[in-house]
Amino acid sequence: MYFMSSVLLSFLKLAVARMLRGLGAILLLEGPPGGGKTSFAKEIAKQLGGTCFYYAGAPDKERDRR
Amino acid sequence: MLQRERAWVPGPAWQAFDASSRGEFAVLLIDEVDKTNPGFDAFLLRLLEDWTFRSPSGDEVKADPSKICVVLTSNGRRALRPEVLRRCQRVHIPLPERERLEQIISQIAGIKIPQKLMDLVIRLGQAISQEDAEAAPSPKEMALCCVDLLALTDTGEHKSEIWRAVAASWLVKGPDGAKVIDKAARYNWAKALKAEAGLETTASGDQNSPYGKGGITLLQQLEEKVAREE
Repeated sequence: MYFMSSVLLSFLKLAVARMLRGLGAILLLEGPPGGGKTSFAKEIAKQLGGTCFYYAGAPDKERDRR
Repeated sequence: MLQRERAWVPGPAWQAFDASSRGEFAVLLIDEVDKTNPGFDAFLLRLLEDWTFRSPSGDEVKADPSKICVVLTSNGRRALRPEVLRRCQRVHIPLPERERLEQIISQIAGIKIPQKLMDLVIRLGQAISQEDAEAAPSPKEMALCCVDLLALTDTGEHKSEIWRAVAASWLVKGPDGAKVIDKAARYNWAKALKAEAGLETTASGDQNSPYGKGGITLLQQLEEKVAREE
C-alpha cells in the first residue's frame, strides 16, 4: 500500500510515458528516510503490472525489504 | 565442473534486463545507491549506456528501454558521478507533511488510532530522526507501533517496561532502543503514555491471553492485513 502526493503521481506518470516511448526512464529519488522512495519504485512496478527487482546498495540493508 | 560454470549467479540487474528483453515490464530498484562503492557508478554507466548487461561469463542481455524503468534511491551519503546524474531524472521526495503523515499511518494501521497516541508516536519519531536522520522510523513502523501499543492490554505490573520495549522494537532498532526512546521522549515513558495516550483506559483483557481480548482482535486484523498485502 502506498500513498502518493499529486507531485509524485505526476512523476510516476511521466516516467511511465517516457518509458513506453522507449526514451528511457531512469529516476534518482533523493530525500530523507521515511519519505517513501522505495515504495515509489514498487508502486511503478505495480502500476505497470511488472516485477520490481531489488538491488540493495547497502550490503547490510534489510529494513526496507519488509 | 558444473559448479564452475555456475560461479556467476544472475543478480537483480540481469533479471530485470532479461525480463524486459522478453517483453515483460520490469523495474530495477537500486536502493541506497549512495551506499555503494564509487566503482559502482562505472558499472551503472555501462548498463545505462546501451542497456546491455554483460556477465562475467560472457553472456549478454539487452534490455528493452520501453519495458524497463530504473529507479535509484539515495539519502545523499555519497554524490554520484556527474555522468550518472546526467542520465537521471532527479526527484526530491521530502518527508510527508504532518497531516498527511497521520493519514498514511492511519491507513496502514487500518484501525482508528487515538489522537494522543498518534501525537506521541509521531513526536517520538521526530525526536529520533533529529538525533540520527538515518534512523528515522518510517510511517509503516510508526503505524505498526501504534497497532501494537493499542493491542497491549493486561500487561500487569510490567506495563511501562513492556510498552517502552514495544515502542522501541518498532521505532528504534538496536539493543539500546528503550534508552533511546526515553531520551527521545525526554521524559518518563510510562508517565507519557498514561497522561497523553490514554492507554490506561483500554478495556481489560482476557486473563488467559498474553495480549488481552481486544489485543487478539487487533493482532488478527493486522495479520490478515499483512497476508492481504503479500
